Amino acid sequence: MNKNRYNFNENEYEQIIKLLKELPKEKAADNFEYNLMVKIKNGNFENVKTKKENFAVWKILIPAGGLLAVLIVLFTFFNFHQESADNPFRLPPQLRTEISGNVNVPLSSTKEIFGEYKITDKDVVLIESKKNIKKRHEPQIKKRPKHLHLQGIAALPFKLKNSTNLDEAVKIKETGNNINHRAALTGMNNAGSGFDGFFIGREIDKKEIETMKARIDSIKKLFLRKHK
Amino acid sequence: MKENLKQLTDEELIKEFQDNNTLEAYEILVKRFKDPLTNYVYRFLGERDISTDIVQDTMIKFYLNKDSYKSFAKFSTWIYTIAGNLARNELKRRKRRVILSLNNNDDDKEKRNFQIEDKNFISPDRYTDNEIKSRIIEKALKKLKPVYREVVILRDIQELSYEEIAEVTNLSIGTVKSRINRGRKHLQKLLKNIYSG
Repeated sequence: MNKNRYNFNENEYEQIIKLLKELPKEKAADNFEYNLMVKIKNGNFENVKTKKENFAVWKILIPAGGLLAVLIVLFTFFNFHQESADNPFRLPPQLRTEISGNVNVPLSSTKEIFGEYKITDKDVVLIESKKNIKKRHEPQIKKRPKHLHLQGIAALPFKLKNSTNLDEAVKIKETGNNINHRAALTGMNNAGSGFDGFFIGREIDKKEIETMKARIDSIKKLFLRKHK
Repeated sequence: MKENLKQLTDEELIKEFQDNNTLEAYEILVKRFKDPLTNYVYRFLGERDISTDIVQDTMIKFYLNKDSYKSFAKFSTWIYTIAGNLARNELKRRKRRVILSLNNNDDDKEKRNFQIEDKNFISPDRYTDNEIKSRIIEKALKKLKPVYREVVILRDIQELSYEEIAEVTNLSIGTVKSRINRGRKHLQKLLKNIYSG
C-alpha cells in the first residue's frame, strides 16, 4: 500500500484550485510576433547577450577574488607557523652538545669546566661523535646558534672572562691563600674589571664629615679617660 | 508548406527548425507558446510590461540556442524552463534594486512623506464581482513566497503535470508536491473570506 508521504489531498484545496483556474488568462500583445521578428531580423540581441556576459563576469570574478584572499591568508598563516618551528624559543629544552660531551670526561678539578679549560683533541673527537649520533637520531637539533659551536675552546653562552668561578672562589676563601678576594669572586685574577664595589649614590658634605670626625674624637677621648 | 507545418507537434517543429533552419516552424512555435508563457510570467512577476520583455527574451534565446534542445525532452518543458529562469533572475534583480533603494537616502526617511500612485488600483464600482475576485486572488498570489508561487502557477493555472513541473523547476517530484501543498495551504488562509462567502 502506498503511503501518502506529502499529505497530499487535491480535494482539500478544490476551491482554491477552482479559483486559480478561473483567473483570466493573460495574452501576449498583438504586436508581439512583429516586434520579435524585427529584433531577430535586425540581429538586435544585445539585451539578451549582455545580460549573459555580465552574469558570467560576476560569476567568475567574485569567487576568484574570494579564493585569492583565502589563499593569501592561508599562505601567510602556514608560513608563520614554519618560521615559528625554527624559532629557538619555541623549541623544547635540549641538552647542549658541548656540555653533554663533557659529562663523560673525567675531571681533575672544577677549573676544567669554567676556568681556562681547553678541550683536548680527544674531547673534540668525543663531542663530534656525540653530535653525529644526535644528528642521526634527533634531526630537530640540527640548527643551533652559531656562537654555541665549539672552536677549540669550550664555547659557552657567556663570556669566560667576565664570569665568576664560584667553586674556586669558595675554595680560596676556605684556604685563605689568596687575599685578592674581589678578583677571585669576579674570576678576573687582577685583570681589572669595571666592578669596584658598591657606592652610595649621594655626595657627603665636608662639614658633615668634620662633625662626624669630631664626634669620633670625643668618643675616643672618653674611651681613653675611662680606661686610664 | 506552412499549413503542413501547423499540423506538426512541437517536437517535430523544433526538429524542422534545427535541421533546416525553417523560420516558419519557429514562428508557429512562437505563436503556440507566446500566450501561455506570458500568462505564466505575468502571474509570477505581476507586471505586464516586464513579462512581455521576458517572453520576448525567451523567444530570442530559443532562436539563438535552438541546438541546445535535445529531442528526448518535451519542448514545452524546455521553453518553460527558459522563461522560468529569466523570470526568477528578474525577481532577484528587483529585490536587489529594492534593497539598494532602501539603503539609499536613509537621512531623508522623515522627509519622505509623499503619496505614491497605485497604478493597479481601480475603484470597485468599475469592477464586476468576478473582476474583484480575480484581483484579490492576484494579490494573494503575490503574497506567496516565489518558490511556492511558481509551482502553484505551473500546476493550477498552467495545468502542467507534476513531472513537467519537476523538470521545469529542476526539483524532485516530492519537493514539487510538497511545495504545491504548502502554497495552496497558504493561499487558502489568505482567501478564506472569498470562497466561504
